[in-house]
Amino acid sequence: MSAEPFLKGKKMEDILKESESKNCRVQRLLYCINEFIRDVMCGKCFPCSFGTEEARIITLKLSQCKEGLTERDIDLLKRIGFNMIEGSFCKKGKDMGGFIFNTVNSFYDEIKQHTTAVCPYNECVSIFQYVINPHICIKCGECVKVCKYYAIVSKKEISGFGSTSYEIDQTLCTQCGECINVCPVNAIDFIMNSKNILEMFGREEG
Amino acid sequence: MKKNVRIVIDGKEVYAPAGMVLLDAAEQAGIHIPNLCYLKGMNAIGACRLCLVEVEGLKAPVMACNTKVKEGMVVRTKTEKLLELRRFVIELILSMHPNDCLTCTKAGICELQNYAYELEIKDTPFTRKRLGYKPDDANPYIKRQPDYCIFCSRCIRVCKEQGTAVLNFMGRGIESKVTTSGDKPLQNSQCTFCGSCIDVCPVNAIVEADRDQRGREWEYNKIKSVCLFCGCSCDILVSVKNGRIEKINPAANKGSIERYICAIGRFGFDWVYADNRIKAPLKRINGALKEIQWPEAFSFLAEKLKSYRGKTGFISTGNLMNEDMFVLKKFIKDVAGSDYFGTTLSLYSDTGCLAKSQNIEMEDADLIILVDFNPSQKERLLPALDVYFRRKLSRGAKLVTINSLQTDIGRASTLNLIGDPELIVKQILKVLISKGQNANKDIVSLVRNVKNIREDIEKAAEFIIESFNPVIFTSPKLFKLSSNIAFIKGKIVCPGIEANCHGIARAGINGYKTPEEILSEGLKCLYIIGDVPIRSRPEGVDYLIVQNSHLTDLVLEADLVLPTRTFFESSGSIVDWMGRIKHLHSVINPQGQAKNHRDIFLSVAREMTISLNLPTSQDLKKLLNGRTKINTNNFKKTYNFDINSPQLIELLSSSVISNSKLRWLKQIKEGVK
Repeated sequence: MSAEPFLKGKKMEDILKESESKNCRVQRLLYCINEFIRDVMCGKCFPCSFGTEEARIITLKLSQCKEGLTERDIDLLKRIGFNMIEGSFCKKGKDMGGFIFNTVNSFYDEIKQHTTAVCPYNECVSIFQYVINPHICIKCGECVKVCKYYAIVSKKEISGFGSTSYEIDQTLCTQCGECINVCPVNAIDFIMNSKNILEMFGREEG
Repeated sequence: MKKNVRIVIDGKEVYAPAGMVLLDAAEQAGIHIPNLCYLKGMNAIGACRLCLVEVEGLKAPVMACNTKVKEGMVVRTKTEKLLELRRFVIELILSMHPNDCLTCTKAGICELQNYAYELEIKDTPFTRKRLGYKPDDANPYIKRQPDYCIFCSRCIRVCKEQGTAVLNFMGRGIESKVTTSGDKPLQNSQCTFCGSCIDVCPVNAIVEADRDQRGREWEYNKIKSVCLFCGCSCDILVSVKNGRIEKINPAANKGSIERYICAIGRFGFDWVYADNRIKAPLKRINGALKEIQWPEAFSFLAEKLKSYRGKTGFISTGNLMNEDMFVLKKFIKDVAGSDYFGTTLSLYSDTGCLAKSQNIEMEDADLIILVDFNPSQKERLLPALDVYFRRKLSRGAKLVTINSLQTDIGRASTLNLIGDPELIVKQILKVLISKGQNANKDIVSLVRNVKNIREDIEKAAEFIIESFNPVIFTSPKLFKLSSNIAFIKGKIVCPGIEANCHGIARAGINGYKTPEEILSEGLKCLYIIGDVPIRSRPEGVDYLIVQNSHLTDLVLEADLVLPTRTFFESSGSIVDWMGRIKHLHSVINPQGQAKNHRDIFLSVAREMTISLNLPTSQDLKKLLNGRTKINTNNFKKTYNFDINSPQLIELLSSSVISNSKLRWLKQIKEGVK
């Protein structure tokens, strides 16, 4: 299983080239990191394998224009890049770190706009979010167990004899969809963010 | 001797032997360089990147775990850049680690926790995530909790080096999981439950299954002792809390090939607390065993020995410590006036070859030759030796196995010679002589008629000539023949399967008789010491005295039962298979009224107003020098016993396996069949 990705023979340069089809720097970053994790990375040294995973989550949230993102997250991204240059074992990891670091360094303002839900190229947009429908939810707790990012929080209701209700913390959710797979009663809904969609299409029409 | 080189680490002058890695050199000087994936003695993989240090004159930081020391190196381990990188890595690991240090079993010795403390990390700035794997707790020994795993792969490498290779990564990067092949529970893999992975795991990912609520690491009183469950006599570190054994770890130095204990040594300790421990002396009154007091037992025993003077047969186990055996020897002669003494040594070996087995140093050995000697982890036959050989092999030594059949250790060896071992040894001797090695007339005449020498046998002889410290391990059957090789070059060892068999043999105890021979003498009184493979009362015995720690079938048929302490409860010394004297320390208070073997003998002698003495340190020192002179003139196979005997091992360790949580192993095995 571990040998297979190397057979594909994708290289850093290929990934960088492919990513140029996107204009937004966040989208480029996300594409490169995803491809790197899938095809290039060997996953043996800690700074590279753990660092890219963390970078992936932060960029994914930026690309979804999540609430609660701050400059702190962008600084973290820069820190990951910097330490990957210093700490990664091989050239591949160092190159990836360099790419993250340089992108954040050169296009800091463009990326920062995403924290206020603005993407200059309109490629990043918050289209929908996951919400637990309290009328359907049977409070089994399966989604809490499966969520890898601790995004589903249980709240003790004071009035309801100590029963718990579940909510998705939108700032933590990465929309990976694991909770939808395990929910036995399909209580997790998409909510379309219609304002954003209208805005997006509206601008394109104009 | 390797020359020392001078280096400077953090402004401190350090001298280290050339060829040593920076990390070890710093450790020697008391400077700890952080690491999570380094395993002393093995090749470094450089995954954790915590040990990066800056060397003057080099642009990029280098890994301390695989950089060798060079004269004049100036090393800095704590620059701001390096500390930032270490904080980065630890914070990333913490972001996917369950932060439950409050109740975590490993708290106190968790390396992740220690580095977080050192680097003053309170929390992680990164996204909290979890791996989300189910723990494997289907066996009562080793619990795997992949959620805690930090992917250091120490367990994988330690398992692979010792030849079991049960664990490996499944997947890649953060999505990988350390597990058995096919992600099966441990008992469905080739796992022998030795627990080496527990010792190397830096976090709580692999722990003893029953450690929950069994004490925190800092509550333990850790006492060094030796395991006497088999002939490997491994060093153990016993953790005791409130006078109760809670866990056992190997005590050999980090990086030493001897840092290993098997499942029996690690998990068999609740044998001490078994329900069938004998707590008080028992005497048969009107057909039933009744508890009596010690003074009564002593005076009764003295009376019996007087009335059966010269007609008492003694059968003892080979597990007695030197002190016990020293007193027993005098006890038999002076107190009981008996000549009838047999030990279990004679079941698997011969006091001659055990006593002549030489003192060796495994660390120095660069060639190991196994003549008809097949330790096995799977069969639990001297498992630690199997591990030592495989570790030596992976650390650069050569291994030659000589066997009549294909064996497990043979498959791993550098050169596997299959054929009649006797002939192969003679052929090796012939090649050695023809290549100009000095040999005496006897050996030359022995191999005069040897012909048809195979190529691989010539190669084996070449290995012997090339090597500096060859060590030969042999079964007792071929000891005398194989010792001819050692006479030309190297040393020879003939390990026994009981822990102190070498000490007993070297002390010159006349236990040459087998238990059967003693039984066939038609003696009226029988005195049995320790756990001996005799299952029922021999016919024709009028009076049966058994001195043992646990109730066995034989004990139930005895007339007088004297409770003894286990090796966890008494101090003393043994001589191990390498010829070293090892000291045991009593780690817990004895159960009930159990007494040491030696105290029982001394008390009975006092009762009969005969003075016996404990051995002096001078007496014990004599055991260090075995009768290491080797005879070269006897080439016959003379014995019928077989050291490669799983049945015998099972017989001798049946008490510990059936009276501790190890019984699960037996049940599982039977269940599979």
